[in-house]
Amino acid sequence: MQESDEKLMVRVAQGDIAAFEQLVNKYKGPVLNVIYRFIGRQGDAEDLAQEAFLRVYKARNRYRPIAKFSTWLFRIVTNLCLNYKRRPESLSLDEICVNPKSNLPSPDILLERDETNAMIRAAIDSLPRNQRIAIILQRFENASYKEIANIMGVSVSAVESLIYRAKQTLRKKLSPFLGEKKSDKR
Amino acid sequence: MENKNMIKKDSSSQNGSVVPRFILGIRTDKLSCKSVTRLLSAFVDGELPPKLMTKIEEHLKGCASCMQEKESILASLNLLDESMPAIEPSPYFWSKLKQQVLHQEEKKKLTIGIFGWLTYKPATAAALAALVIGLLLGNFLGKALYYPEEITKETAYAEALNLGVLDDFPPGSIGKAYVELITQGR
Repeated sequence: MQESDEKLMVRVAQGDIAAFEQLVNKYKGPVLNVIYRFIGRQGDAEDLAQEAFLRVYKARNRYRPIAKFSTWLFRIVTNLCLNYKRRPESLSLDEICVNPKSNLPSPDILLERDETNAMIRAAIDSLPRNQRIAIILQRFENASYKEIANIMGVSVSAVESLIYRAKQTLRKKLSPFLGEKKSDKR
Repeated sequence: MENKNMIKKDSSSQNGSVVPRFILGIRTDKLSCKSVTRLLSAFVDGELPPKLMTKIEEHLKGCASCMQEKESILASLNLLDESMPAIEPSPYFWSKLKQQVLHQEEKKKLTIGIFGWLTYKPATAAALAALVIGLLLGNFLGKALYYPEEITKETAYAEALNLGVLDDFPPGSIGKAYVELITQGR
C-alpha cells in the first residue's frame, strides 16, 4: 500500500531523503506546471520549482500532519509565484514578437498556433497575480474553491470572486480571437 | 476533485437538498438572467449546490442569451487549456535538487559541529568567549581612553614662537630656577 504524503513528510522530518524523493517525484510535475503557467518561462519555472521543494525541505520540521501536504506545498508554490520578479534580461514569447532587435522570426513568420499562444499568454499575464494563481489552480490542478481558499489563505467567496473576475477579463481579451476561431470552424 | 459546491452553504443545505436563499449576494429563489450570468462562472466549475445547478440548467434550456454567455465562457476556458499544455520536468530535476539538499545538510552539520564541540568542552568555550570579549573590550577601552595629542603644523609653529627658548636659561632648567631664586629678593 502506498504511504500517504503526510506520513512521507513525517519521515522527511526525521531526515529520510528517500521519502523526500518520493514526494518530489509525485509532485514535481504539478508544481512545475503551476509555476510555468503562472510565469510563462520554462527555465525560470524549473528553478522556481527547485526552490519550492528546497523550501519544503528546509521547513520539514515545521510541518504538522494535521495540514494536508498538497495544500501546504501549493501554499509555498503560490507564495513563490506571487513574489516572483521577472528577470529583465530574458524575454517571453510575447516580448520577442514586439522586439524588433530579436534574431528570432518576426510575428508574421511565426506559426499561427504560437501566435495564438503568445496572445493568450499576454492575456494571462495581464491578470492581477492573485486572480492568475486562482484560475491556474482551478483549471489545471482541478482544485476546488475551498482548496484554493486554503492555499491562498482567503475565503471561499473571495476565491469565487477572483475566478469570476479572471474569467471576465480573459473573455474580454480573447473575444476577437474566439470570433476568429468560430469563423474558422464554419 | 473534492469539496465541491462550497459556496456559502448553510447547515440545511449540506446535502444539497435545500438551496440557500442567497448565494454570492444573489437571490436563488427567483433566478433572473442577471443572476444566472453572475452565477455562470461557479456553475461551469461545478461549485454550486446541486439543486441550484439543476435550476440554472433549466434556465439555460429556455434562455438563448444565457446559454450563449455560458458557451462563451467555456470557449475562452477551452482556449486557455489548449494554449497551455503541460511541460515535463527535466530528467535531472531530482539530482539537482538532491545536490542542493545535501549542500544544505553539510552547512547545517558544520554549524551544529562547531556549536556541538563547544558544548562538549564548556571550559574551552568559556575561555574562547572570554578571549573574544577581552579583545573587544580592550579595543574599545584603548580607543576611549587614549587620545594622543596630535602634533600639527600649528602647534609646532606656536612652540617655535615661544621666545623663552632664546633665554640664557631656558624655562624649566636649573639655571633658570637659580636666576629666579636670586632675583626674588630684589
